[in-house]
Amino acid sequence: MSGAARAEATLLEAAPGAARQEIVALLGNPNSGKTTLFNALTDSRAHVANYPGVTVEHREALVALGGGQTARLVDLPGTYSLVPRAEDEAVALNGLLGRLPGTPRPSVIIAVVDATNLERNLYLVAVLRELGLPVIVALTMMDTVEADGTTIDVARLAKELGTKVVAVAAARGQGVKELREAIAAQQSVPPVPAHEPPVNASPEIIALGQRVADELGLAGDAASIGLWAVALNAGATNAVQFSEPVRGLLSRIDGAGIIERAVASRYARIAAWHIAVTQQRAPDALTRSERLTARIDSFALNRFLGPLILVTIFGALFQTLFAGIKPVMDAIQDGMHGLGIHVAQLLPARMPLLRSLVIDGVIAGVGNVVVFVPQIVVLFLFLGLLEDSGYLARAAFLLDRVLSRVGLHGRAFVPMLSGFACAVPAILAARTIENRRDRLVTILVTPLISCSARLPVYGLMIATVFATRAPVLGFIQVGTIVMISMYALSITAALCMAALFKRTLLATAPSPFVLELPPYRRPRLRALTRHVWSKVSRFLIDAGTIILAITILLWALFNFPRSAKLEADYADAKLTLAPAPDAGERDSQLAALEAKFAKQRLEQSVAGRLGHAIEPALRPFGWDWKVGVGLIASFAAREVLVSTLGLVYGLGQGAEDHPESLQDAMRDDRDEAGRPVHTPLSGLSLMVFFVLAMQCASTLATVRRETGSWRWPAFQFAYMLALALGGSFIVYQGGRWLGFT
Amino acid sequence: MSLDVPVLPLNELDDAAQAPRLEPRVCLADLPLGAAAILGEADGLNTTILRLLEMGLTPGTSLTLTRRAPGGDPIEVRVRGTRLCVRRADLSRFAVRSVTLPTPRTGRDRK
Repeated sequence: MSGAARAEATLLEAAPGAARQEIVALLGNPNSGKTTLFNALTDSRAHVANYPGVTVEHREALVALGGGQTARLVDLPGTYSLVPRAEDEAVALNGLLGRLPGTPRPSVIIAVVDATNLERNLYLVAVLRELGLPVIVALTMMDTVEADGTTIDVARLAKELGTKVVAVAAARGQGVKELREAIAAQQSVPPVPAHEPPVNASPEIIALGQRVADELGLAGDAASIGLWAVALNAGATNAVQFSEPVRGLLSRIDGAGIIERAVASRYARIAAWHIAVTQQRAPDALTRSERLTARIDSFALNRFLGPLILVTIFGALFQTLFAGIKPVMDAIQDGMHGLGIHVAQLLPARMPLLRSLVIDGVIAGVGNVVVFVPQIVVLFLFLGLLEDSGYLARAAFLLDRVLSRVGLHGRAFVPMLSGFACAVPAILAARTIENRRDRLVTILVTPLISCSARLPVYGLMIATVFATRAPVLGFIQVGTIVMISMYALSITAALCMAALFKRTLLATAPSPFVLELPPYRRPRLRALTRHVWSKVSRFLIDAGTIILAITILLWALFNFPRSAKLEADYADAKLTLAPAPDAGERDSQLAALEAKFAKQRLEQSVAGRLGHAIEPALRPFGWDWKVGVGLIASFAAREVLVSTLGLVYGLGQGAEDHPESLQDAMRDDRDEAGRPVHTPLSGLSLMVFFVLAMQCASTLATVRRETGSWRWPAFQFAYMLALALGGSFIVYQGGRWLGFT
Repeated sequence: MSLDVPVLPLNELDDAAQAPRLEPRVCLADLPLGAAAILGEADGLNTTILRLLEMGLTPGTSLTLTRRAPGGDPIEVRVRGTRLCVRRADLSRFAVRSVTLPTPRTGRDRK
């Protein structure tokens, strides 16, 4: 079901007849207080969904207008302009025009205007008025303006704009009732005539405007609409698909000059409104909030202190994600393990397969989902705090030069850094990047960053094949060098691939960059917790179901087909187990028996046979079938390699709890010719594979969820697999050619 | 708005080396911090310039350079009461009608 269809369905459940609801759209600049107003108007009962086909988030909810009247309130993405530059802005424009699937034309547009920044915020209103769209102005942040000693004549502004203007302090609930009444009243009021065009347009532009007005059903002046269409054309976006005749007209009009004049003329008009409605106590002085912001920024953006503060803040985030949260995640895993044992006792021992399905399939699968929750909570709490306070924009300012070199957006820093802990929350964090292509590049390369799930694999291989080596220069452990090399490889690969994607597949015109530094604001805890909860719940529902399904699928690969003979042998062997004098010895004998049969069962399973079948293909990389089986399992999650190798080497379940025996078993493993199976070279080749390959079902599920289709995760899986196989091949064959083993 | 501030001869700018005497055009991005410029027309129209215009960088607007990011790019400017960060390549495309240099005190403070 598409996002819109799902949104529709939910709304229909919420209120019968919702399909006939009037649409009210919320539009405004980023940071204008739009979200706070949305929450205040809807009592925070938003439904969040993606617009179909795009990765742009869409929130809507029913709003009560009084007198039993309701409307669908649609929160459009924040934008500075009606000439879209990014996909999000195109969604905002199409939302206004009623051209989004499942969302008819709004009957009223609430233009959210930040009163502390009247001039620039009124620009959007000016264009809306020229196009003849029905507008109500919601003037937010009035409390800040008043505290700064400025007065805004709301009635006069309404007169100048020719629209209703409602002053609101959404966080305190002031003006919300009036806004509701204004929306309700607007439904029965004849439309206000549109504003005059900003400049005199040529007959060609007027003719164009008439056509566009007919096509889009706009009520504004033909000259205004023509000017807007010319600007849209100059903006080089195909946000609005025009018909062939309109495109023909557009191709014959040279917009240069007139667009600039139109914008300048609009601002002249706005400046006149601004002067007419505001009275500042001291016109040129910095306001109180500006002074506070300037004081904080003198530290936060200082040439020396700024980077230091940045590193400290993100270092703390990284430390929390990487280490601080580990006890919680361990507790979840222990809890799931305990739950498994408890459930096992409830299920009859006669049904080992059902037991195995419930414990190793379902409970393990749920555990694989829930284990991400603490990281997601921490990351989004942190990001929410940084975003709401205004610091995230500063971080992008400080980092833009470094990241733009490789074609990454300044905000790509947060996902990339979080990627060292786990790609799943990191990819969710890519949402803060507004531009869709920049976001996709970040999503595509983030899993290359060496996440914490790779550590057990590095640990096992280093301990197995490098631990016995003499230290370099007498004191540097070889393992340390190998570990650092893996991280260096991962960072290099991520940055190179980002640069490559940015230049080829997701090439854009040199990324336009205009960043606003909003004043620092105190984050609101309630909105923040709501935001975090919505992230978590949607991860659990959307990605969680896929992760669970993949876990169960892999469980089946490792448990089927089952051989009746083997099971009978196992039962016999258990019965004929020599009665040992004490219980301890009997337990260890039983465990050895179980491990032996687990190994045989695995060898007969689809996964085991697959491991044998692909062994010839793995030879050039230096791996045998046992590693092959481990690789198959590790596509669910990388760390599974360790426990699977434990099974393959006949050590039974839980090999990760006593790693030395597995390392010894692997080190002592010999092939038919008596040569060691695991050499430093084959170990290195395997580690390189783990750095570069996308072996994480949870990440793939998350990417699917974030990009809205299987296309991107499939591509990501393929390119990373190719990269990994290439890398391992070069390491192993190149190493052999150079004479290493 | 005081539009009649005369364009200062370039050799009076802080960093004379960067702006050779014979070059008649003042580069907005090279002005010292604290300098206020009255904007002229932008050179050519692309999506970023269009966006900057729509965010209020129209001819005749006063713009103050307030900060450079470590490494010199992007540059923070104050315009129409908001603070925007713009890359120097984009900022350089705006012509300058006139410049008011910062008073020496501010100049030293910012240093």
